[in-house]
Amino acid sequence: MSWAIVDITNFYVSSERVFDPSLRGVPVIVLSNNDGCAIARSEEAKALHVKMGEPVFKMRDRIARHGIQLRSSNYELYADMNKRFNAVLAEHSDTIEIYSIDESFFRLPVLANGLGDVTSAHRVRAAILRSVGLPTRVGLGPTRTLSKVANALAKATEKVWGGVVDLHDQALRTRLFSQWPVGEVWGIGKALEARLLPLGVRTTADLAALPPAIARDVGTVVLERLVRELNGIECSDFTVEPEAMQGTAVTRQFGEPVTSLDELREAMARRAARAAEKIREKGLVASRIIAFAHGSRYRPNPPSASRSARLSPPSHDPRVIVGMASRMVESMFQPGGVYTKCGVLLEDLQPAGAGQADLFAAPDPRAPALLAAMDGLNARFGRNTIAVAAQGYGPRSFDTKRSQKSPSWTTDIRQIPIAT
Amino acid sequence: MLPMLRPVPIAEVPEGLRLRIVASAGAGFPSPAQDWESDAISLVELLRLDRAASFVFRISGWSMFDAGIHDKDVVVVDRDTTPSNGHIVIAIVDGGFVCRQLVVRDGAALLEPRNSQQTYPPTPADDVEIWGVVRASVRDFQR
Repeated sequence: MSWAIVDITNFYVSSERVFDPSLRGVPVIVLSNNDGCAIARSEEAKALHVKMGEPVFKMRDRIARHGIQLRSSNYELYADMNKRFNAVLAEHSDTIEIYSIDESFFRLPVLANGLGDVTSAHRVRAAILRSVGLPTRVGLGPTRTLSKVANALAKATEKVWGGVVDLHDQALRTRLFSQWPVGEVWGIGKALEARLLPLGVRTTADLAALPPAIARDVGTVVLERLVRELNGIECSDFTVEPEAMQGTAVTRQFGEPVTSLDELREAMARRAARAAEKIREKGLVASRIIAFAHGSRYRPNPPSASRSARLSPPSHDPRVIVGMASRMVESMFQPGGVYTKCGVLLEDLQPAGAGQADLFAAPDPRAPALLAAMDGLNARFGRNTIAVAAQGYGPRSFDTKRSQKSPSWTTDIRQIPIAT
Repeated sequence: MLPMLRPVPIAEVPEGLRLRIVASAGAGFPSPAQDWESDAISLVELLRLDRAASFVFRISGWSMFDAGIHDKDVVVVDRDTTPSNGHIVIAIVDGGFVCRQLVVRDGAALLEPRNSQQTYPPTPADDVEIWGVVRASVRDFQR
């Protein structure tokens, strides 16, 4: 079996275009939370030198001059389109691994001549385009690493090779790798690139030729495996994954600044509840909570404070975590202060049920059932169907601004597209 | 403030709301029906709304009245059906979505309205993107 990875071209912009024909053929930028900077660009916007992460205020001129269309992030839409994308993919492969919101690995049989099944890869692309309207590219190879490099090459050569590159052929690898910078390889970050340079490793070919023992010395066992994978030797336990979650943070800029204690408490409660929910999703509990709130450094005398506390026993219960965060807000709030951001960090995470019992804490035997019911209801009927009362109810002026958000075309019956 | 919800007795739960028995109470005579229990009818399954290629649109206007599609109907649209002669489709015309019948006549494809009372102009469909094929229509009489 060969590895394949399919990624969606300019995913957020492409999703917007499925439901808004007026965005086709014109420059489009999707903005980050609070509409701050560009996080996705159409090809037309890239041609106008809009950079990833570029703040909107720096591009006002270009936006006006070229009629660049702006959209706030519509995560409801992107999450639904991602689900559909993977569902189509699953019809074409027995094994799929969701790698990120816009890319998934899958497996295809190797052809009798030892090459990858390019025809099937094109069929997958056609099916995704037809069924969900999203353009994609596919990379094929004997290992995940090679499929990832093939995918990057498919992006770079899309006009020539039509969006599919297969790296099963050793001769082709040799030819392409000599021109492919090592920094473009999956898992080679800036720091590693800098350490490889003195060894004369500039291209992917140089990296593939590096003796495994040296690779281990320069990097870690991960780099050694990466080198093996570049040579077509599959390392079954090889994955480039984020490390196990050590902590989680839910921090957000306010849509409108907050000046009252009640509002700050609610904003903090919402972040605390979301942080607790995030660690519950992973089956973890936290032993430490940190809450902070501050104003803008561009204003005179911005308020700024943070508090931290131990959670004993470790917890993921929103009643505990929200309660703690609310008390922290009371002790840090400065009357007259203008707050622009607050957040909650949960640290020292460990699997739920693994920790030492607190001798002096009275465990709540009904909590697991309550939390399971709450998470179940929220999964079924939408986020915050059941919430801690301190979070307040309904929209607030401090909510993240998404003023140019397109409708939730596929997830809210009141917002479905209209045909005349 | 959170709105306080009044507990609703099961007898008052509106018909059609799907109830799932989580566990049966220990006492009393066991239900004689329990071996024949099956899931309630689900419109999601019936309309196959869980398919990756199925989307829903709302119809605005009466251009397809004679085809049985009314103003405010919700239609189920399949993107993965190849449009062919006679299909009711969602197409992109002048940058907006329209619902029309695809008709191939004398080798030319047309998007035709279905309303004998009012005039809607037919559109040549050669350069038009067909977004999907309408498979079903749902009408809520309470609207």
